[in-house]
Amino acid sequence: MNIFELQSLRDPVFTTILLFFVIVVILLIYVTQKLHYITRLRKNIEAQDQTIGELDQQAKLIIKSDMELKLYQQEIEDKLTKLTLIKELIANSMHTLSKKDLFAQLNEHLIHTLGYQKALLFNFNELSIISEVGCNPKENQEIISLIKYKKEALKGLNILPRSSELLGQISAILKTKQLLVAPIKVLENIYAVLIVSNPIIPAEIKKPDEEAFSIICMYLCQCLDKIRLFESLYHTKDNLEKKIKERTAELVKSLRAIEVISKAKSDFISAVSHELRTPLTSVKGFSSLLVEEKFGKLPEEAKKRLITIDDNVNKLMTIVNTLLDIARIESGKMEVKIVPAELTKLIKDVTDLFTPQAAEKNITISVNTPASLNVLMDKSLIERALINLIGNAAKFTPAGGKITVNGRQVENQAVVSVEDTGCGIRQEDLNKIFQEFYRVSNPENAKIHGTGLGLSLVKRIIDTHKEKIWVDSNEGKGTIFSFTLRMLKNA
Amino acid sequence: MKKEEFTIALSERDREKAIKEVSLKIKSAFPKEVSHLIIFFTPHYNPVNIINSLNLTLKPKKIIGLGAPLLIHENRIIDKGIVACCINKTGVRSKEIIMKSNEADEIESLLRLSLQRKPHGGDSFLLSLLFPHLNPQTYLKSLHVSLGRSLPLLGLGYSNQYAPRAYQIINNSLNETSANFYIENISITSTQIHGYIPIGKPFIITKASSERGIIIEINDQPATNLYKHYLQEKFEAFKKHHLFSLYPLGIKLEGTRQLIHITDCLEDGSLVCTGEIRENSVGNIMLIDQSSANEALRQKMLLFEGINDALFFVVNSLSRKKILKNSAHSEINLLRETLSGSQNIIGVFSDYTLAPDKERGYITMDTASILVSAWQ
Repeated sequence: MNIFELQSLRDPVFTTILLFFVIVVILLIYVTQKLHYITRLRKNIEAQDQTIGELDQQAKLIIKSDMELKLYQQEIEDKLTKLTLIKELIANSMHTLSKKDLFAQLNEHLIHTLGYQKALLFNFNELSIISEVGCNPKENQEIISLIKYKKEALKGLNILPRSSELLGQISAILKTKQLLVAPIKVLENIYAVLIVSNPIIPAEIKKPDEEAFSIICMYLCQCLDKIRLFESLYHTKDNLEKKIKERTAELVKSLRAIEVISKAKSDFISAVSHELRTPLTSVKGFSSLLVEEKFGKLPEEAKKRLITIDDNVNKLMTIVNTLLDIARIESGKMEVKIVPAELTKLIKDVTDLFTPQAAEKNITISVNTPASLNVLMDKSLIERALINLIGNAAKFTPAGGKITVNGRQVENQAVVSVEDTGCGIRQEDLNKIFQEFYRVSNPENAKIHGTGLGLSLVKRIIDTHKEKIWVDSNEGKGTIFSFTLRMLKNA
Repeated sequence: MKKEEFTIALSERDREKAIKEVSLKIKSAFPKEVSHLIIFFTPHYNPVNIINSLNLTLKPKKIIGLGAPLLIHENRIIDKGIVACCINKTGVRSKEIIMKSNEADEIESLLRLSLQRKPHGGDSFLLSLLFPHLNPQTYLKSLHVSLGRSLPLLGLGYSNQYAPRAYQIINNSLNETSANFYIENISITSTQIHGYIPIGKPFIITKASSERGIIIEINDQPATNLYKHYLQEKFEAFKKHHLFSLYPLGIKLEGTRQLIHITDCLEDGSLVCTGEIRENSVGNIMLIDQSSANEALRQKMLLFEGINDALFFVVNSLSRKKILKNSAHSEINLLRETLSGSQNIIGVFSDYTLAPDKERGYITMDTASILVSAWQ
């Protein structure tokens, strides 16, 4: 440092200027630093603002999606609750066919689950309460009295709209704006009116609530319609049953009268037959003795006549015996013993009886049965039936013809049929041949003697066994009579 | 309280059957006499029938009854039923104060006169059941003036226009106005659990009317613009479905967040709300989900660790139930799980609760929280 420099330092002006410069420099440095700091702070603030802005944008997204989610969740929950309730109502009332049972479903549980504190259902025509939940009797009476004079306001509507004057008046009575009113109709006529009000959970009645209420009302309408149809059907059925009962009673009466007549006829036949049989037996005895010339030799002409008398007495005896058998069967006096028995042997034995007669007429008679058929039958009665059927076949089969007696098992039954190659029976006569004394009128038949009682007896014998008998015939070709008998179990 | 000092009962049957069932259950626990009976019932039951039936079967010395939209019993939310609690603890006394007026001055003098010689705190507390005719803010102001700001209090109230017919049973009569019950010889420990988390940019309430419960402007704009900002094109649907309660406002007051529940919006863009509103307070829109709710519940329930043999009285929020839906059931279930088997839970749902806020040192109103109190 030189002298000049030292002197300058001692100079106060110089020193002041120097200090000033130093301060200025320091200030400049400070300001520069501060400016730098402010710039940095600004940048930080801007960055933070940007972050906050971004966060705010994210908040927007979060809130929007959260709200949407909650709305959907709410909607789904509401719908699910209502659907469950409607399902429950339908399940409980699906098969209900009485109005009382149907309206009993509108109970406290249903109304509360639907979300309302109060409900009133009343008959629209009688203006009487059908059911109510949580209602005040005074309010109920006021509502019914109001609707009594405002019936027209409900007609043609499914649910009372918010703008309806009547809804406003009911709302004033119930002191709540949260209510729903709907008519319950059968066809187009209002049967009842349903009102629900005062939501349990504080909330305004919304569209889904209205829809659920409307669905329930529509369902009630459908149920009422179903009940109406059932009631009408029930009345028809009732009337029909009444008529059937009347007709049945008439038929029973007629049947009883027929039974009385039939019994009288059987009794008459039986009595007459009995009365005839005694003298006939005596006549037969004497005629037989006379024919056999036990009282001495008879002139030839007298003997001829006596033989004719004896033949006719035999026929008469057969008629009387058959009639007696029919009468006994009809009156239940004949003792029937249906027991296990062998059918094949019986068929063969009966057929053998007719072999000489058939041979005489040049008729082939054959038997076609399995080795054994164990059936349940009254042997003596079935024997008579077979004798009648094979005898008839022999009578109506012309010379050179053929008779076949078949016996076979069909499931748990034995089917016996007697087939001939006779003249056959006309179709119109088929359903009459089992009647007593009925004889088919044709030239062939006229030549053959018969009483018209044989088939009638056969039918009764088979009926006594609770089995079936039927006939198939081709006119000019032949006839087949068939009947069934029950096979013995494990046979 | 010990088991020999209280019992609880529930019935979910219909009408009189439910009252009979509850009476029989209590009678079997306390066959001799019933001192205090607290009974909560859903709107499905007729309060007159409840009074008649109780007087026939139990003949309690005192009845405190309340009709509520939903009840709580142990780990369940009951949507139809009667929940009762019988307290037979020695020395328990109660005094009812019915508030027919909704004027602050009258409420203040009524409370002062009714409770002037009663001790505030210790083993006594005030149970307030408030109905829509009374503005809760007015009531809180009167309460603070007359009885001080740190009074042990449990309060619940209904403000919603769709609230069910609010009934109280006070001994043998029905009451449709707000009432207080001063209960002696029972000490309470309480906490409010919300679990909401702030979301989005903070805002400032620039214009509000706390008396009318209206927020007029937020950030110098109509208050509804806050929701329009976040919901944009969804706002109309939001407004139409009255969904404001889904997103309450969380206002910062003395270091804590106070929830304000929005009930409606006016045509000028103002928001009608329940809760403590102050101009120039800062807040956020709040959001809750099950995990944040459960976490808050676990944290807050630590307060009750070490409390044995207590009856837990829970007041849950209707708007919280609306937001959490089915998660509200699991929340109650979780609440039950945090307590031991010897502790019983009963409760109701309401629109708002009143309880002392320890951090702020005075009674606050909450609209979306669970108020849990242990009675000993």
